[in-house]
Order: sequence, then structure tokens, then C-alpha cells
Amino acid sequence: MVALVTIVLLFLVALCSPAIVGTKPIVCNYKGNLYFPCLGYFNPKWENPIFIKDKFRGVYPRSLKQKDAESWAVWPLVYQDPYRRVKADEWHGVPSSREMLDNPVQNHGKPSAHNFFGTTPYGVDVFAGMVHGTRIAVLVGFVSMGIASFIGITIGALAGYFRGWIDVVLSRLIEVVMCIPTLVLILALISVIAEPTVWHLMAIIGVTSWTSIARLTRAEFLKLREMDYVAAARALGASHVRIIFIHVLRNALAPVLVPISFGVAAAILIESALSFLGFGAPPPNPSWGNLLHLGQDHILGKMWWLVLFPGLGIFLTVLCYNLVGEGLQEATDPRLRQAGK
Amino acid sequence: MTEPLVEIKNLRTHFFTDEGVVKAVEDVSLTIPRGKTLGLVGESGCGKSVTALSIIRLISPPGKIVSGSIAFYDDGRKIELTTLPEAEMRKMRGSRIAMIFQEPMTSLNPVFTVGSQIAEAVRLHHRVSSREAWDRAVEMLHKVRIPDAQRRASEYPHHFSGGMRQRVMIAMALSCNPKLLIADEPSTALDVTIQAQVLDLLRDLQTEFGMSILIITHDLGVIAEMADDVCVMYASKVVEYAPVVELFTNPLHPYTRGLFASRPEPGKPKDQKLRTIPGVVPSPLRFPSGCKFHPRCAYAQERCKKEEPVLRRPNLSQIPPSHVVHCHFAEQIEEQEEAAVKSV
Amino acid sequence: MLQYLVRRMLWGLLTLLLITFVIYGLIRFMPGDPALLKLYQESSDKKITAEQIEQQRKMYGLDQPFYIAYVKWLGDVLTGNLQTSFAYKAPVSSVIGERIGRTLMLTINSLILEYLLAIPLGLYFTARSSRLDERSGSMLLFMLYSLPSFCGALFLQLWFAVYLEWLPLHGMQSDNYEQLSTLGKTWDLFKHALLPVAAFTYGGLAYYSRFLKATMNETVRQDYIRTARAKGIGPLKVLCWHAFRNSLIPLVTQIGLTLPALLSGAIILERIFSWPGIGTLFFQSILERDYPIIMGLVLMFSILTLLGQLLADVLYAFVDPRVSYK
Ligand SMILES: Nc1ncnc2c1ncn2[C@@H]1O[C@H](COP(=O)(O)OP(=O)(O)O)[C@@H](O)[C@H]1O
Ligand SMILES: [Mg+2]
Repeated sequence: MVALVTIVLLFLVALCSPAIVGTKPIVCNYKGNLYFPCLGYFNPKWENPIFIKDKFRGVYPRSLKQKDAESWAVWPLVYQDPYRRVKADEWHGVPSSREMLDNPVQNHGKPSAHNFFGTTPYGVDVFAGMVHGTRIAVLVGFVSMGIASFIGITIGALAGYFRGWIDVVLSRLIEVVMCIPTLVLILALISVIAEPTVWHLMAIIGVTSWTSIARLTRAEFLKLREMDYVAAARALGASHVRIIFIHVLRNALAPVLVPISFGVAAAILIESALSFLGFGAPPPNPSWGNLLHLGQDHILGKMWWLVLFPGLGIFLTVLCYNLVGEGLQEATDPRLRQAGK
Repeated sequence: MTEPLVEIKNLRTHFFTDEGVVKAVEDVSLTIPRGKTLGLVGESGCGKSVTALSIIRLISPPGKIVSGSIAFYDDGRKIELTTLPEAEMRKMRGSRIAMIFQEPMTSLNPVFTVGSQIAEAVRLHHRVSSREAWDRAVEMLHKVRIPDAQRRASEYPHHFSGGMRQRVMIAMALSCNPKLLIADEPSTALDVTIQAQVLDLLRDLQTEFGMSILIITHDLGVIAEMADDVCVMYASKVVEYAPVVELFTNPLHPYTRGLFASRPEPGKPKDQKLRTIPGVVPSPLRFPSGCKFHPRCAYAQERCKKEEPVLRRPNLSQIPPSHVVHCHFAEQIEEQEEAAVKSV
Repeated sequence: MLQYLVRRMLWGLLTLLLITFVIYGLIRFMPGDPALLKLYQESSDKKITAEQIEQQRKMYGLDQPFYIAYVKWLGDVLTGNLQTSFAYKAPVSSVIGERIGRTLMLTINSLILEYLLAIPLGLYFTARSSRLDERSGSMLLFMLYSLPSFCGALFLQLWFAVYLEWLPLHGMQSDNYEQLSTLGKTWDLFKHALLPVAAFTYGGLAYYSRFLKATMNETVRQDYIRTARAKGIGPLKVLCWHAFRNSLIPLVTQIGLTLPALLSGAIILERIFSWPGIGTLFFQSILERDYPIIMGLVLMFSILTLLGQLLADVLYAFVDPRVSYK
């Protein structure tokens, strides 16, 4: 239960990340028009061209005031940026007693009232990176498992439903793919791509991690196809496609959710591992794995916050998905259900 | 009357589950006579197995013996089983009290040979070498009429059929000469012919070994064949208790009458429908008030809904004192039924 | 049994062919030309002629289409020759052989530790089922199980190597290794291996003890356990002999299936700890496009996986009298 709530929270954070922390106003009135510059965090193209034309260079507070005295803006809860170092004069509220008014660099960037989770060696706020990194974590989980579920369910359903030689061929395929160590395959695939992006990563994780889903779907279909309602549907003249997707799949879905849920955890883990190894999303992208990578590079500088916070983020997310998977497993496994009573 | 081997008084065994307290055994009193057989009969779920497991103290959490006493008379000593320390109880199991179960297919450990499983029981209670224990195992297998016992002792349970496995179970149970053998539906899971063989075997072994048997079943045929005394249970309670011939000639409780009436008999005219007991066994979480049988009883009256009857001797001249029943109106029902029989 | 094994082997060989073919194809499509890379590294004035490139490509067998090169590679492998590494200019087998011991030193030790700890833990938790210590212990194991090994490894490094300075941060030997006595050498190696082994072990430990506990929970509900208790056997013996002997069946099949993880699991951790083993080698070969090494390692991983499955089957028949492959 707690795990489910945490996952929903993670989603919300991912969705609202630009509103929680950022340097771009959520809404601003500029030269008589309303703009939503914060959308630029989701996709640079969504940042209104007018700000580029007026040479804001990503620094909003001063530019807004200078170029349009009438302007107003609603700012994110925390004024920090996941991509760049925030300068001292950018934002009010920095206490004048502090010597370094910019975001601190190197191991001066301990967690403080202005950088909750400290800063990277280059003075970029870790908290901002963490919050914006949730987007990748959430996306990776869903996109890659979406792909994996599609492949896995299709192959498993075909094998389990039609049996015979189709089953033999597909089962062999599943076995072969299972034989290849996932990490080896993923590393090989990634190196094939010239400029890997997060999307490539998700696709690769997706196409390499469908085997457990396929195996379970196949087992469920083998069991369910013997059920009376399948025979009834066939007697009524329903097509194979209809039977597979309407009748059987609906009943097989609950158990199949179990490997999917564990799969999401594994996908997040793999993504952060790849980013950590330097094979992941290219650096400007804030990803937990990238932050951890920085942490390892600078481990001798005793910048513990660079290791602790992203590490905890990955850990908690994986833990939550595993807990949900475990819960699902208990709910769908009849043997365990009986034992619980 | 013969002297008792086990005397159970007011036994209560409850399961403290998340959904509530399941009162699986309520106020059960019964006596297992030495060298004789007591039959425990009733619909499934009425608490027969729990009673048996209470005797051998194998009730696992959340179950617990709440109150009552189980006295075991061993060589003139009285042993109170409910308060016996676990270590002592363990010595009783197997050596004094043995048990066989309903499911022969799953009751033997699949990864050990049957001989070693029997020998293990022997070595547990006797100081013998493993060689001697093995010989004893083979001898026991021979006694339960398993052909080629020498060779089969070193085979695994999956090489045996259901009936054969039940024989192995019996051999294992009797390997240490127990005083009491509890047989929980020993033949229910078997084919009819095999059933008869196993029951025959049990009877023959009883004459040979002289142990008492508590046989649990829902089959009145098994009772007729095996038991000396019969105890009928319904919804965690004993509803009627009598010697076997007496019970079969004079069933008094409406539930016992129902059991007999719902039995197909070759003498009955074919067009006459079998009488069944209407309704279902109540859930132990939601027992009805008063007499628990009243919702299904054809003779139920107001009093039955309010007041729980006690187990008592009916006030009838032809009934011997050893016959007790758990019904307010046993006498009146008997008169009604007699009248009905006469009028036909 | 024999017939079954032979059939499994044949399927295994087919699988092996498929995997190596796919991977070979894949790596040939990797951008970046090893010939170019190599020449660039070697030439002092960074000027490379087209002729040189051509020559180098020919030497590496890159002038042919990949399927022909694959067949050639396959032929070489069948004669026991894994070709020569581009980067190390040494036979692949000797390059791998030199490093495999170092990886196995980590993984086998941690595997032994995992089992040594997981079995008593699993049994203990089964015995204490749903008590307070079992619940909290199980939760802790679940958390360890969910803590990715690279996070755990970093935490360990940060705490024990950076802050406490008890143990070396990475590497396998100290700089003065050669001058140390035999005892000192062992001690030095031990200190270096401690953190990596710990990082390897905790995840597997959590996995196996949870696995064992789950199967044991299933086993202790079986009828034959009740039979054993009715015989008068004590709870400890019921648990450790009758129940555990049955739970061993799924457990040993797990051993076989984890065989490949012994090596592939090392890729990330060896990199974190700069441990000069198989994982680091694989990582570098991918960066340097050292095709023969990559192929050699892939071949080894796949063979190990297949062997593991075979081993699982054989062990299965060994511990479960009901199974026989006839
Ligand atoms: N482990 C248990 N937990 C909860 N209730 C139980 C348990 N074992 C038995 N019961 C309950 O006790 C009652 C009697 O069961 P049992 O003695 O097995 O019936 P039977 O007469 O068929 O042998 C049943 O209603 C059952 O629900
Ligand atoms: Mg029963």
C-alpha cells in the first residue's frame, strides 16, 4: 500500500517537476501575453520562441523585469536548475553573509538551505537534478515495459494459444533470448547506435526483457485455453484474434502483471546502471544514474551527497515496484492466497 | 465395560483466525476403550480431524486447545496429554499414539525411500542399530502384506500406488507398537475394492497388535464394519454416542436419523427417493443459536432455537444407559416415528 | 538420461550458433572502426593513409561482409583458435584466461558466502515464521534485494574506503605488492577483495534466503511434514531434514541457473572497483571495438548459460528421486 502511494507520488513529481524546482516561470505575463516557459523542461521546443528572440538566455527573473516592467510570473517552489549553475544575483533571498553567492562548486556544495541535496562539482543543484530525473525513471519504466509487454504477451499468447509447432518455435526463441546475458546484449546493442538517447535506451531495454512476461503468458494461456468459455466462444464462431484478446487475455492479465511490475523495477535499475556506466542518456539529461556517476568520479572528494541521494532515489523506486510486484503475486497466486487465510 | 485407554473430557479446540475464532471442537467428551475401536462419524468440516489432531497434539497455530482434558492410561499410569510438555509429548507420538492420514499420495516424504521412513520411526523410539531398524521396516511392510517387501523397502513413495502407500503408512504407524492408532479417513481417497482391503488389514492388525483404533470417517459402512462404539459429530459437537449395534438399530438424534435415511440401501424400493438432510452445514464462524442443528431439523421447535441441549441419556425404556443423545425432544421424536412406522 | 543429455546438448549448440551469429552481426554494425582506432592510437603524427587503413582492415578481416567473417570466425573457433585480440595483440584465449581467475576469485567466494549464509538464514526465518524478528529480518532482506548492487557498492566504498579509510578504494593490489611477503600479499589481496565480495554477496544472499524461505513455507505445509511430526520427530529435525531435503530441489536448480551470473554480474562491479577481471575486459573491448575479445566473451557467457541449464537438469534428477530422463 505504502509502495503504491509512493509510486503515485513519483508520478506526480515527474509530472510536476518543472513546477517544483526550476528557473523558468510556471506562468508569466510578458508583453501582454501569457506564456508557460516551464514546459521547456519537458521539451525544449515547447519553450516559447519569443524568449529566445528577446535573448533571455534561460535566465528569466532579471530579463523579465528589464524587458517588460509590467510583467509578472509564477515561479516554481524552488529556484534551482537541473542543467546549469545558478548565479548569485539571479534570484533574491540569497543571504548576503555567504561568501560564495553562486551555487557552490566542488566539495563546498554540501546540502544547505539553498541546495537541499547539495550541488555537483560544477555547482548544479542535485535536488533539481533528482526531481527532474524522476521523469526519466518513470518514463523508462513505462515505455520499456510497454514494449516488453507487447512483445512478451504477443509471443506468449501465440505460443500458448495455438500450441503445436508455433509453440515449439516460439518457446525455443524465448529460450535463446534468455540465454544471452541481458547486460551483454544491451551493451552490444547500445554500442551499435551512434548517438544513443534515452529513447533508444528504453527501446533496447524493452526488446531485451520480455522473456519472463512471455513465459508467464504462455503458461496462463495453456491453462486458460482449456476453459469452457473458450470452447463456448469458439462454438459461437468467434475469431481466434477475438478469443485471444477479449476472452483469454482479460483473464490472464492479473498474473501477467506480476512480471511486468518486477520488470519496471528491473528497467529502472538497468537504465540507472547504464547511465552510471556512461552508456546512458547523454550527460545534460538529468538522470539519477548520471548523478551517481558524478558521485563515483568524485568519491575521493568526500561528496557523499552525490552518492547518497541518487542512490536512495534508485533504491526506493526499485523497492516500491518490487513491493507492488510482490503484493500482486500474493494476490494472484491461489496457493499463497490460501496460505494467507 | 472395558477399561478406557483415552478419556477426553470437555475438549475445546479453537482456531484464532483473522476472520474470527473458529470453534472447531466444542465441549467434546469421548472414551476410547482399550483394544477396541471407536468410530467418529460426521459430515466434513464438523471437527473430526481437529479432535484427532488434538489428541496427538498436532494442532498448529492459529489453533489451540482452549480447555478440557485428554487422559491417556498407560500401564496403569494416567497421563494428561493437554498439559504434557512438548518433549514428553514427542515421545508419545509414534510410540504410544500413531496416526495415519486421509491422503496417502502426499503423506509420505517423496525424497526418502519408504523403508528409511519406517526405520526412522523405529530408531526414534528404540535404541536399535540402523540395520535392525531396517529389518523391522521390512518386517512391517511384510505384515501389511506388501509383496516382495525386501526389495520394495528401498523404493521411493512414487513407485507405490495409493492403496500401497496407505499400507506403508499403516506399517510406519504400527512399527513401534502404539497403544492407539488414529486413522483419519484412511480409506476415503481409495478405490472401493482397495478400501475394503485396507480396512480388513486394519482389523487383522488390531487382533495381532491389540491396539485401540480411533477411526474417523463420514461413511456409515466403514463404521458398521470397523467400530465397536460410535460417536456422531455435528458442527463441532457430539450429538449422539452409542455402541455400534445400538446406534444402527435405534438412531435417536434427528441428524443421525437423517444420515441413515440418506443412505442408499438395496432393500429399499427403487422408486422411493433418498431422503436428504435439507440445508448445509453451518459455517463455524456463524453457528446458529440454540441447537446448532435446528435450521435443518424437521422436528425443530421454539425451544431448539433458544436453548442448547445437553448430552443426556434419553428417558426411554428400550435404550441402554450407554446411549446418549444431544437433543431436547429425543423421546417425543422416537414416539412419533414409532407411531408412523406402525401406521404404515 | 544419456539420450536426454545428448538432445539437450544438440539444442544447446544450435542456440549457441544463433546467439554468436546475432552478436557478431551486431558488433560489426557498431559505429567506429577498430582499424582506424588502432592506427590512430599508434601513429605518432596522427596522419594515416588510406593504404594503411586498408591494410589494417584486411589484417582484422574487416574487408569481408560480416557473414563471411562470421563463418571464418566459426571455423577458427572449431579448431580451438579464438583469434587474436586487436588491442592486446595476443590470443583471445590467453587474454581471457589471464583475467578469468581474478573474476572467479570474487564471484566464487561470494557464491560460497551466499549459500553459507542464506541456508541458515532461510531455515531460521522459516522456523520463526511471522514472529517479530522474522518479519523485520524479512523486510531487511527484501530491502537488500531491492538495493541495486552498484548503489550498494558505492555506499560501501564511500563509508569504508573514503570515510573510515579501513580498506582500499579500488584495484586488486597495492602499489608495493611485489615487495610484500607471501603473507602480506595474501592480506593485501584480501583487503582489496573484501568490498567487492561484500557488494557481490549481499544481493544474492537476500535473493537466496528469500527464495529458500518461500519454498520452505510451501514445503512445511505438506502432508508428509505432518506425518513426520506424528512419528514424534522433533521440530528441528523436521525442518532441517524432512522439509529442507525437499526444498533443496528447487534450490539446486537455482545454482545451475546462476552460473552465468557469476561472470556477467561482474561487469558493473568490476568497473566500480577497478578490478582487472572479465567484466572490465568486456567493458574495454566494447569501447575499443575489440571484436575477437567481445566474441570470445559472448561465446563464454553463452556456453556457461547453457552449461548452467544442463547442470540444473542433472542436479535436479540427482536430488529428486521422482525425476528421471528416460
Ligand atoms: N488450520 C485451520 N485454520 C482455521 N480453521 C480450521 C483449520 N483447520 C480446521 N479448521 C476448521 O475446523 C473445522 C473442522 O475441521 P476438520 O476437523 O478438519 O473437519 P473434518 O470433520 O472434515 O475432519 C472446519 O470448519 C475448519 O474450517
Ligand atoms: Mg478431516
